Amino acid sequence: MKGSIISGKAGKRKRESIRLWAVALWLALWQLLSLKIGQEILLVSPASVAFRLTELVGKGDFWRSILFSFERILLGFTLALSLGILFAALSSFCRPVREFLQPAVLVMKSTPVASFTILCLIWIPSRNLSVFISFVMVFPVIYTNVLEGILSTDSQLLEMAEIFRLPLFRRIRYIYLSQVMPYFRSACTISIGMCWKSGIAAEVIGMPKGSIGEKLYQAKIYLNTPDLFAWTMVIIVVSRLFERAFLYGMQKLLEKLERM
Amino acid sequence: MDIRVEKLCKAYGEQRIFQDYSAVFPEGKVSCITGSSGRGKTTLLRLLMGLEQPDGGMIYGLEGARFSAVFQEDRLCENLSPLSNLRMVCQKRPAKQRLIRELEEAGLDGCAEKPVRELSGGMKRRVSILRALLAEFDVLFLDEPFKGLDAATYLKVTDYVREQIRGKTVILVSHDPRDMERLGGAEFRL
Repeated sequence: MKGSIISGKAGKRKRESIRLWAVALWLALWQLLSLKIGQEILLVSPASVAFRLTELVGKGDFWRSILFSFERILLGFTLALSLGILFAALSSFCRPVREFLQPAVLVMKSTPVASFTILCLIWIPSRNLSVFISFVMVFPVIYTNVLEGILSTDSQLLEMAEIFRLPLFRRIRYIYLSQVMPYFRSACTISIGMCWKSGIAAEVIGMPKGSIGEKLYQAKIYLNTPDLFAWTMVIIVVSRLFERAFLYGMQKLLEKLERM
Repeated sequence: MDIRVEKLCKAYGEQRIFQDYSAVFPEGKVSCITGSSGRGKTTLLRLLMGLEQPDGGMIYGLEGARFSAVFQEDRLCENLSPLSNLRMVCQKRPAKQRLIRELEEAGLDGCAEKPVRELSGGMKRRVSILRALLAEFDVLFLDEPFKGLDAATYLKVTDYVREQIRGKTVILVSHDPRDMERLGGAEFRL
């Protein structure tokens, strides 16, 4: 449905799509630079990376590593999403909850991933470290944005809802959802990339066996630059695919909700 | 039941808006509150709707009553379509075709599913009026409901509203003497 909760101001703007010619130009520059340097260990060529990727794709271990990291990062993201929305809703009408959470959110926002990771290695097995780190990085973004969205809900609309005695479900569906959605959408867009970056960083430090982070670490140890670049490409692609799939799913869900 | 206002007092800081104001707004009729700017027309409406509390005095006859309103501002959900804005206030889920017919009657053909933010000021006003009329209500509050409508639309919309509010308790606040003439009812000058 046109003109829905989904298509807020942000939805109206044309997406800045990546142009094929720009990608090709960057690859050409990379190839030229790599040829100029002439040492694959310093700067591997895109052709070598592509070749290495084709090798990796054929191995079961490659897919297992992706699945291992994906599962954990997804779990961390989902937890952050659910708890971020829940606590933002609670904080919006209960000031003590907001005040109580404020220092924790500030700490989560300001602490570097490395500090959290090293600290958490003491308490959490390295296998599940990326779940926690993704959560810690995403939660404040979701919480802050959703809370801001709820608090900036038009008070005149809330008065209108009061006069028409709209039940809570309708207030959420028609008023809050349409007001909070642009905030939520931008929070998700920011935090999906962030949870991947932080999750993988945590894996590089914690080195859980069979993770993408472990593969990156090994590539670094053995100065295996093609592997390092190949795995980095994988992270970018998986992160982007996840972001697109998530936002698409969210849009469809909201369209369905509006048609209900 | 008539709406009785007794010895109503309201002030904002030093500015006294009402001092022992009393009035009876009859049930099933249109009561038109008029007066120059700053006399407290909208404040009276807000007090009746319970959006503000009086400093003194009592209001009787509104206990448990269902309200509907056209505010001075449109107060529509701008990201939603007119259809969704209308659905929002309907007790039972109305058929889509019925709502589209209502929109067409109000001269809003072909914009049922557009976001409200893409509509003109006059169109938004009509959606706002339609929303108030589609909600189930015992008392309807209208605060400058027809502002921003062109002459032809004004006549069409006031005709439509007059038909819809027949026999209902309506409190109308307006600057425009034509509104009272078109909707009928008694004048309460502040």
